[in-house]
Amino acid sequence: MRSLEHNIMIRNYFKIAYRNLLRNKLTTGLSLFGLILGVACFLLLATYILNELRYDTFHDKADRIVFANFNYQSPSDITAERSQVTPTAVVPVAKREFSEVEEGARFYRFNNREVLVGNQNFNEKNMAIADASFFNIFSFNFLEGNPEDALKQPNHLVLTKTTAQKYFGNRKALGQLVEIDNKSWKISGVIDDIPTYSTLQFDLIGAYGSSERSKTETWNSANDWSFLLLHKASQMEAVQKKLNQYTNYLFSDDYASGYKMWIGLEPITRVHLHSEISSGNALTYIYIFSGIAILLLLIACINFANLMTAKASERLKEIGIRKTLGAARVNLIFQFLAESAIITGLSIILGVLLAFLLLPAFGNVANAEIGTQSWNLTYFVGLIITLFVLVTSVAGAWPALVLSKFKPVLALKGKNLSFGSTALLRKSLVVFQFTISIAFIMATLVTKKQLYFIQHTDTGLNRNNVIMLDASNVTSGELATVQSELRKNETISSVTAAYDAPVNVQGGYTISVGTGLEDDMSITAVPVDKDFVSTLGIKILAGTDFTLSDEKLVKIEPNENRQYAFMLNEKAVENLGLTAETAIGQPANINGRQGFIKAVLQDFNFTSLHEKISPIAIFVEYDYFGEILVKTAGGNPTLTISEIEKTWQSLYPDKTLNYTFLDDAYAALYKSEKRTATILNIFSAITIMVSCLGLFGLSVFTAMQRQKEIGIRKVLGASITQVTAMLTSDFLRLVVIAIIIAAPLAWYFMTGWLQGFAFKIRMPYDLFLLAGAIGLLIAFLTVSFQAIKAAIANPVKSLRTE
Amino acid sequence: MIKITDLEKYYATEEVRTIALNKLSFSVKTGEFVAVMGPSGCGKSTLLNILGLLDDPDGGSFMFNDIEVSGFNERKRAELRKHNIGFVFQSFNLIDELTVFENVELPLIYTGVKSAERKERVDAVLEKMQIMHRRKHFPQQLSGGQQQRVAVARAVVNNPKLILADEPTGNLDSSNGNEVMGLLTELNEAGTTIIMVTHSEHDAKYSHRIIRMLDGQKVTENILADFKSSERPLTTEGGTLTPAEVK
Ligand SMILES: Nc1ncnc2c1ncn2[C@@H]1O[C@H](COP(=O)(O)OP(=O)(O)O)[C@@H](O)[C@H]1O
Ligand SMILES: [Mg+2]
Repeated sequence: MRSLEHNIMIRNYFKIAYRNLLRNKLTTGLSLFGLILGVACFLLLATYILNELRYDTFHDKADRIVFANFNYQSPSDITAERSQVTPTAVVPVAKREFSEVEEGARFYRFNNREVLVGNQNFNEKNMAIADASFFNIFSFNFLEGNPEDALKQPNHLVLTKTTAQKYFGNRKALGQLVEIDNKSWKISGVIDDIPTYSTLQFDLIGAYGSSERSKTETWNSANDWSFLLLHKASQMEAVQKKLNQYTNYLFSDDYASGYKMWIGLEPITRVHLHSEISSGNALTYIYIFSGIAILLLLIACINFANLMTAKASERLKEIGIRKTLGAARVNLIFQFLAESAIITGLSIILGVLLAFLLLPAFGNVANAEIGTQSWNLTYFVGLIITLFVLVTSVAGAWPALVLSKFKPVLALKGKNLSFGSTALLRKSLVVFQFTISIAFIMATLVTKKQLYFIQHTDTGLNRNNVIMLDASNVTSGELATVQSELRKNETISSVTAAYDAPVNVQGGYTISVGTGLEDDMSITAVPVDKDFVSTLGIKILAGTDFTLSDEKLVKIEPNENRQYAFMLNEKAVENLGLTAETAIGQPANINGRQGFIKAVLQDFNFTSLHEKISPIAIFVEYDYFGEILVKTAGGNPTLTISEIEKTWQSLYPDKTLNYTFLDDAYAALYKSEKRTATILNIFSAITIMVSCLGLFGLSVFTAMQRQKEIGIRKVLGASITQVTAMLTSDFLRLVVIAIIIAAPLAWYFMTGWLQGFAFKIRMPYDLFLLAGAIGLLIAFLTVSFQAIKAAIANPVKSLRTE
Repeated sequence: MIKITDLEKYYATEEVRTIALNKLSFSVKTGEFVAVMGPSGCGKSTLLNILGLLDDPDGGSFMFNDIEVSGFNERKRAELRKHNIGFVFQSFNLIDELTVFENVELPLIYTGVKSAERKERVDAVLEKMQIMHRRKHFPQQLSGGQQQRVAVARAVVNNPKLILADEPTGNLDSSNGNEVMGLLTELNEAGTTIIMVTHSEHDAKYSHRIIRMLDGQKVTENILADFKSSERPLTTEGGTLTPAEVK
């Protein structure tokens, strides 16, 4: 019986709430719109965050899998160089020597591979090989074949579902043969596509035993990812200790002369978010995105609460009547909560829909492979319920509490002096909304300016009209032919080659200069073709460019008799205690390469602008080149590319040409910054939009509430301009306060962000002013519409109450 | 000072077209005190709004001090209004958020009077209306009579030539009402022209002449007191006429 009454009462709340919402279309519409945007953005960002947090946790044995990294420190290095690729010996040694290690697997990534399926050729950028135990350690779902022995035999190959479909359509892939590197490979399994939240990403994976590298265990080069499966998660430290002992012993000679080399371990579940050796600032992005998501939702909630209380000043009479009729305060609270619940529920439904529609576009912008698969149903339902409860109470509780508190007599009069305190709170909330919005605008402008700076500053190296061809398939012997063939093209002004992309040189070497036993200094170095410096327009401060004779001197056999010519940058020379003049002609040795310093180069940025320019050496050497650099005379790049394609096809009919513009390769170094900028851009636009919705609503109510006052003022001689100014200035004052609060906030965060760059703009205070002006202008446009409308209205109408 | 001829005003609401003023004609001389009476809805407030340059007539002529003002745009009307006309309403129409002082000060702000002079003039008029001790109070804290005195103070602070009062005693009891009528009479004796709408025969007796209206038209005119006009040109500046000059 009681529960029935209860039910009727609740139904009644919702019925009245529904009518109220329908009656107040403007409030309802503005609140809904804001909340839908808030919810949709929140869900999009949550998808991204969830995807990040789930990284690598889907493996059944995830807690026991550790990832090894390789650390190297020369005596002059302050910090060790850490890399995620390790020597091939790590896994077999750990498996043999340490009882805590149950299994281990190496994972080696191929560059491009041509895969011949029947008579069809596929260029695969994402092929890897891994030890047989790979699928025992990691949980990838097998559709065909089985995890135990898929990678046991050499030249066995496992495909992902998408790859298998690409090769064989709907036919069974298991047992089929394909050709890679002139060898026949047998398909031994097909797995589901790799989830977006996996560090291990590949389209096809072969047995490690297929490769020459499986035959030797070496500590001398590091190219493999090494994973160990421990018996117990808690054993990582023990294994780490043993590994340290092992490497101490193994490298005792090096340790004696001050070099350090060791293998570090990390749980795989921590790699993506926490490890400095993975993609980097994943965690920072989680913080930024969570912040944005919550703030945006909060701003939308504030809108709702604000509009509701503003509107409620018109409902004081209703509240009074209800109270005199015996409504208890709880009844009123429930009444308001019911309204809030309806709005919230509706916004969540529509917000989910909107988020779903926008997910692909957002994935594009955020440059993240995210999708509905990043969710699992339990999480999703849980989050939606939490969201519903939170938003309903955040948005509804405040108005419910404030409005239900009114004394019936005062409420009936429709006039209430104590309403001033809610007006103050409402104003504070508007200030809060605009503080966030304007801080976002400021941050957006600062990131934009830094990105512009990155794109346009002179890095000492001319990237213009340089096309970079992937040369990893070209042997050093073939290079001369490729170069001379390309040079035949009129639009190409020069062709050179380098080990690394010149915008991101990674090679770590050590150099010693002079004849005595001078200390080694660690230095970045890059083997290049002789035309490297001239092609890229790097300035020579002293000495002369490489010549044909330098080229000949490094081609002498045997290696020991070679004579190298080195070019050092200013920084290197300075660190060596030399000057540009005194350095020239000095004998030098870089990792056993004997030679002399031929020239000193002006400093140029050879890594991202995050880093200071450190010492670098370049030398001609024709062992291996990763990139061929083609400088064109400018003009139509598509035309030049198609010419290059033609030449390439004539030389390598069965190899795909992979190329990028050097400028794009440079820009790619700042992908994550670009992403931040884009996301900030979008969300600051949405934030200001939602804030303006609220402001607009408030301006409507203010104009309505002050209608009579405006009439009186006009009768007393106020002009339209004066009335408009009066109405807008009240709001704009709030925005000005917001600007004053936003500026130091933005300054604090952006200073931190800029600190990540060695090369950066000065904090652009003028942009803060600009952001403030933008905020003011937008707010002005929002409120002036209502203000002007109110100011133009004939006062006779508003005063005609008698 | 005022001469209206065949003044017309219509209100069109949805299907219905109301004729609020139907070819109304009369004139008012400077220094005169005229009462307008008539049943509710006969067009009194509409008339006052047009005389006060708050609204436009739809037809006829309105000469304000020999100038045809019926075609004036909003700006010109506002300019003329703020220097020459003061309003007193039945419901006082004080701004709740402003103090007594600030309410009275408003017309001076809008006519661009400097702050020091404003204070002087507001204080003077509050003194005269015997409401000085309440200058820091808000309207809600005053009685109806006090509120109307503030409203009258606000209406006269700019020394207008013409005061338009729409049922100024309508919300007041008789003693407060008499007090306000006394104030208006004093102002009239000091030279201000007054046109007052009222339902009270008692209040109407304070005036020189009663115009009675019905359905937007003038029906009768009773002359109560002898009034000799002394037409003087209006200025946009303040400056009161002494009773001697008027009489
Ligand atoms: N803004 C308006 N819209 C429509 N009709 C109006 C408006 N103002 C007044 N009226 C109508 O015009 C007539 C005259 O109104 P009013 O001048 O207020 O009369 P009074 O002041 O004499 O009571 C009435 O019938 C009234 O309903
Ligand atoms: Mg009336």
